[in-house]
Amino acid sequence: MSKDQRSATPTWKLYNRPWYVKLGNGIADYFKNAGLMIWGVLKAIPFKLWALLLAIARCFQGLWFRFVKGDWRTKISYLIMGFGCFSRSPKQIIKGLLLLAVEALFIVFMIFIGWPNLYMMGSLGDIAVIKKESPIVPGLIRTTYVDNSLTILLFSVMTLMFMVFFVYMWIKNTKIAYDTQKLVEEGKPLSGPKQQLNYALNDGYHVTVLTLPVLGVLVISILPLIVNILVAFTNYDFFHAPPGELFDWVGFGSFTNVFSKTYGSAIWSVLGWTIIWAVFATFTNFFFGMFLAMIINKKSIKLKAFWRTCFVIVIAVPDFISLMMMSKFFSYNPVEDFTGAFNHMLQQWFGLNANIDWFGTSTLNEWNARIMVIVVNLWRGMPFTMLSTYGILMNIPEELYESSRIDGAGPLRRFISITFPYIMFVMGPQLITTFTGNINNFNVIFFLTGGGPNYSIGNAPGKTDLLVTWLYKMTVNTSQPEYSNGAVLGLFTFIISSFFALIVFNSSKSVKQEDTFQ
Amino acid sequence: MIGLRSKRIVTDTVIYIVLLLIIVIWLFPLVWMVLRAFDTNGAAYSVSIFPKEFTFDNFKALFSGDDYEFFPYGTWLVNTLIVAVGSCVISTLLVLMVSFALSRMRFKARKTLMNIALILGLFPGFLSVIALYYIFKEFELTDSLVGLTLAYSLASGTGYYIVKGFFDTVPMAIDEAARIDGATKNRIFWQMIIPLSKPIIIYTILTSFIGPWCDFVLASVFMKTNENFTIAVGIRQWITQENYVGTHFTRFCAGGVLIAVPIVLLYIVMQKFYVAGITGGAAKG
Repeated sequence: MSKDQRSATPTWKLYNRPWYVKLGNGIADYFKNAGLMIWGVLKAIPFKLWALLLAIARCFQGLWFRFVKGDWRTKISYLIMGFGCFSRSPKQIIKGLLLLAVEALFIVFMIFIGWPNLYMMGSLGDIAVIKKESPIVPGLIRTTYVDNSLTILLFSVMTLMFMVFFVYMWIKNTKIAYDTQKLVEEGKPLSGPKQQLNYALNDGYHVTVLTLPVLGVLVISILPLIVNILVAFTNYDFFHAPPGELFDWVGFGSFTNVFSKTYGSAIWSVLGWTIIWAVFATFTNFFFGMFLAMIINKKSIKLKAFWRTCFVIVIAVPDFISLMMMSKFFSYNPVEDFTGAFNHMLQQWFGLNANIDWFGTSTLNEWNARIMVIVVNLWRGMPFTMLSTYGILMNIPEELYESSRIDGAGPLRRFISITFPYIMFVMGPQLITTFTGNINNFNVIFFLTGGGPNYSIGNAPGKTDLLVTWLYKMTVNTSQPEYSNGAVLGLFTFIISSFFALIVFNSSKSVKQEDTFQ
Repeated sequence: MIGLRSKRIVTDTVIYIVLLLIIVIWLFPLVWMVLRAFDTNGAAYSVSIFPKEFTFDNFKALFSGDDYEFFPYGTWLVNTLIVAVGSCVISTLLVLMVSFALSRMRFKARKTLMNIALILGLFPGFLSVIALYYIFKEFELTDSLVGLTLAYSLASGTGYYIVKGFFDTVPMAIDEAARIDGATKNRIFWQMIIPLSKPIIIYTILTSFIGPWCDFVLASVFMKTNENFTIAVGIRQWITQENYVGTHFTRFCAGGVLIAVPIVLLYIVMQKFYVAGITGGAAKG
């Protein structure tokens, strides 16, 4: 048994308890495990730091050792990268020159881009713009942009990343130089370009294929993340937007803006609604999808593929189309002739004298809008859960049902004891992923209500705004963007989702381990 | 026995009725939109729920309307196609490469890389879109199709999960046999593993095509001029401008139907893959 496998209550003790006790116990265990997981991560941090320090120390030790033991060619390699290669044998010229090229490029980069930006990282620029009036033609002004805080910030972060990469390459270079020296001393043959290519296609093939994807992730995911975190500590907004203006470090200024000064307690009500939304959006889809999958999967029901395909059509329509269409389908106008199709339908087909403001756009009824987005989300998202539950149902071994039937279990009993646990086993981790996805479900809210109904103007959140749609409103969909406040909001959302992400990480790990024990 | 049988017939009839009812509710809005796309009356708020007269003019107007210069649907369509195909090719290659390395090779950083990818994959990409926009702006890659394509595809290596799961099921003995015959890893990858994994490659190609085809957020942040819009960003103008909604709502419907049809067909074709993909990935944790 692995020490990671924690099961708070042994299953046999719960065997005879009613299902709700089991369910409650399961939920309690789940959060307990999540807590333990987070505590475990926190507890591990000092050890990881210590291990990191040790690794760095070992690295320096190695550097020193190789320097002392190395001959003059190895020693020169510390200054001129690749010297240990190309000075020893013509076979190693290409390898050595490549290392030298890395060093040359790095130096050129540092001189022209790296250092000038890094130098100004502390101040983020001094002069934004120089305006000079022509001495002969009055009123003719020549504008020159000088420092751009954003460029400085971006290139500083990039320079730091390059520096880390360069130091890695430099250490690697000393190793290569020393190893080559060893080979020469022992009289072993050096590898030529052909063997080096062969290495890249064979034992080192993972480096060849992974370089590009890892670079992509660094540029597209990790670099923006770091920049985003840094921007949160500046005052970058519409009034401090480069070029023309500079922004500056302000510490936790933007944090106080978002959490109290500018928006008061708005963020907490947005967070509250985000959680309510995510819970309802996830569970309505889950239970309704499960119910539907089960009745389609019933043995005596014919045309299974047809029923399924009908629902597939709903998810196949790109959501920006179906959601925008829905926003007009349920649209409202106080003048009855101009109200949306659904209100007309209620009037003409069902004879109701109804003209309902479904999204609360003019009556500002927030709960109308909130219920409607959950309902439309059910329309949009249920087929997804239906499809995946259907797949799981087909995998449940038929023998389980047969033996339970012999034991005299009714349909309800079979559902509680076989179907539901089986579905939860597979869908459990996915359910939390869906939950996190719903916390950040931009499209449904943005296209249906645009965050409204809205009592206030400016960048303040509307009544159905989630954290992400508010972020979009604050930074993109506005005439006065507040980038630093947006960055704080982004960080906040990040922390909220990472809490759930950790739980998924934990549970998917445990699923994997169970696999190995089976 | 007769009682049991009739009871079953009753339950089945009830189920059929419930199913039919649900499907009617679920499909009704879409049917409404498709029918409105053929309507001669263009207003979104028309009193008649279904069209009284049918016409193809709405579809023709997409490509040659009076205001085509202002709302060039044809250009948006071509843009969307370029971006979707471009990022589909790049993403598929990256995903295949990552999956091969993680499935067939054992190296020091393997576990770490997998954990990082798992954690990164759990965070919504949207959170750093603004920062990404400014990075791309420095290199003049915003408001350009190339930039958008790269932004969609470059980080897709983290989505290796399902493909790696498939590669894992291809027996290692094949690799070893090829190694003994003198094939390099590179050759094993291109000439053995890839031909053996056709279904999962088709699945990857389709999903990585559909992603950019249906995306709104990133395109709306990146694209600033009308000629560079993708369908999602362009067509949204027809919903937000009251003039358009009041008199030309049917054009939105026609445009929407046109962009949805290929995706609906793709989905119906790959339904099987889809179910297998989800459950396969889930079962492997």
